[in-house]
Amino acid sequence: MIEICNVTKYYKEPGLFSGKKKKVLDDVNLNLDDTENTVIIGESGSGKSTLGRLILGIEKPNSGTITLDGQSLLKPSVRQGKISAVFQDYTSSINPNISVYKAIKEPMIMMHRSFSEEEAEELLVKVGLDGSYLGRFPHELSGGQAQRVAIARALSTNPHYVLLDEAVSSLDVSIQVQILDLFLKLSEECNVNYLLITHDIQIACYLCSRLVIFNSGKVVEEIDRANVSCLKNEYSRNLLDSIITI
Amino acid sequence: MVMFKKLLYNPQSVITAIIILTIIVLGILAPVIAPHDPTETNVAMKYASPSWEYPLGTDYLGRCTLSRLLHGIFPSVILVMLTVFCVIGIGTFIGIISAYYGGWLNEILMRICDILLSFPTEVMILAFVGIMGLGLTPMLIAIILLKWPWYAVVIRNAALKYKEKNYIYFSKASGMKGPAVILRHVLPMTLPDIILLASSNVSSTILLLSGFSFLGLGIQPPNPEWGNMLSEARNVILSHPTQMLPPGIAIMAVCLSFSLFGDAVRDAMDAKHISKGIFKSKGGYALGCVTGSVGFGRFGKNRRSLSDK
Ligand SMILES: Nc1ncnc2c1ncn2[C@@H]1O[C@H](COP(=O)(O)OP(=O)(O)OP(=O)(O)O)[C@@H](O)[C@H]1O
Ligand SMILES: [Mg+2]
Repeated sequence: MIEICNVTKYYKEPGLFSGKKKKVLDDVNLNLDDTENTVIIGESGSGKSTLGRLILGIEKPNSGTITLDGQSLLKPSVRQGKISAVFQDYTSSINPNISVYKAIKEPMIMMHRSFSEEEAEELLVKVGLDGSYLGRFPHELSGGQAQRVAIARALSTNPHYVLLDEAVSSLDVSIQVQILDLFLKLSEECNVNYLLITHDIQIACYLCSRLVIFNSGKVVEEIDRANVSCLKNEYSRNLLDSIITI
Repeated sequence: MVMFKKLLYNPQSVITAIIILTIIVLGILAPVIAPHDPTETNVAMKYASPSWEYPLGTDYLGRCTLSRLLHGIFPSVILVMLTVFCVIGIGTFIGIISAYYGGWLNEILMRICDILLSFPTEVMILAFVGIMGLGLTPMLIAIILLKWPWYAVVIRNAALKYKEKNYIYFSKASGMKGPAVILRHVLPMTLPDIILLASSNVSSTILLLSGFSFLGLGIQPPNPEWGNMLSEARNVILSHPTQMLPPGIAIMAVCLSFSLFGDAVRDAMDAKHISKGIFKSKGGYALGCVTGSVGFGRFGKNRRSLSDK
């Protein structure tokens, strides 16, 4: 279980002497359990990706703690092999100097596990690519293909938690369904849990049973998929209405 | 591997690498292959034209120019390369560490660099030589001590571009520790910048050292060094102008080779140009040959690489 306790995060405003800080996350409390998938929905700029980076241990919160099964996520060894991610911006998700195979293999090297080309190929087929992509370099992939390689890489270690920051939004619908089904299958078979960040309520409800509504760095409301229609908070009702009517 | 293949197919890198390697080998073998002792004088033969005995003629003391040129490779080229290697090593280490870890470490390191950078290099080298005495060693030590901050700052800026890329976030998120991330991602990504910097700075350091030797501050006569060979030739520039040619051409050839080789290597490391490497390298080679202007070629390439990233 990942526990997020009273997490606050500031960013410095630009300018050498401004000294002003901008509060991006404000006292966030959230538990991600290992039985259900969670989605975070919120406006652009509300701090969703920032929360994601904190959960991944890439950045430190200014106050509060984030723990995985009681251990601080800031320690690399705690995260190893258990946590993985697909990021919002796929253009830089793979190192341009290394081939697809090496990229997918990378998390394995750290865990001193072997990973053959066949296994990598299998993984690529699952995300709708094939073995011919193994030797390619990132600049030879389209945006959607790069995103799918990133997804394959994120799943390669069989992690417990995967952060999906707009991971499927850039793919076309048929591939989206294929990948969402893959996610669901893995979550049943291998006990993988997802933290999804998206603007697409359909995808959210397809994959996740718990919805977290986020606004300007705060958790506004948590709700079960079944009860989406009876949101209590004014803001979250408006947000979901606007998403659905589009 | 792809990179080596590209280097092999690029005439620019092949030719310049051959020139550089040949010079290094000649420099190492100088004691064996040089026809004369570089300090042996023969006043009867001064200013001799090229002959079988003296292939490049002799200087104002009748010393063999070819032997002096060959013996001059060691201080003029090889020691300079080692110095630049040290400087780049320190600069890369400090630059990447402070870019990657940021925070107070970055602040401290960069303030140290700022302080050292505020001294004018040439004047500080003079001061150093003043304290430690004339000669090559004090000068090389001074260059190492004074130049690394410059590299550290440049390399830090290069590394900062990559620090916030998602592949680095991914490696960190999946539990890779700092040094491993640096070795796997940050260093390889900055390597083209480092190599370009190194190659152009071998040339500029050769010129700097030759300049100081020319002024009589570096290697002391009668030991041969290209800069002081040039300086001795200067005294007779009107009566024997050809005396300038051997050291002058040698310095120019080495500097140009290093610059062009650096360009070729960084092109080869640019993953994005893998598929169109050969056409581009021909264009670059032609440009290099026609204009002979290293600076112009590099300006264009830098701009292109900035817009790529
Ligand atoms: N490294 C940073 N330095 C300074 N400010 C930042 C940084 N990263 C994010 N911010 C600011 O924090 C706020 C939240 O950004 P974040 O990327 O978390 O938004 P988001 O909810 O993911 O939005 P989107 O849906 O558009 O992806 C924004 O106002 C952004 O300007
Ligand atoms: Mg975001």
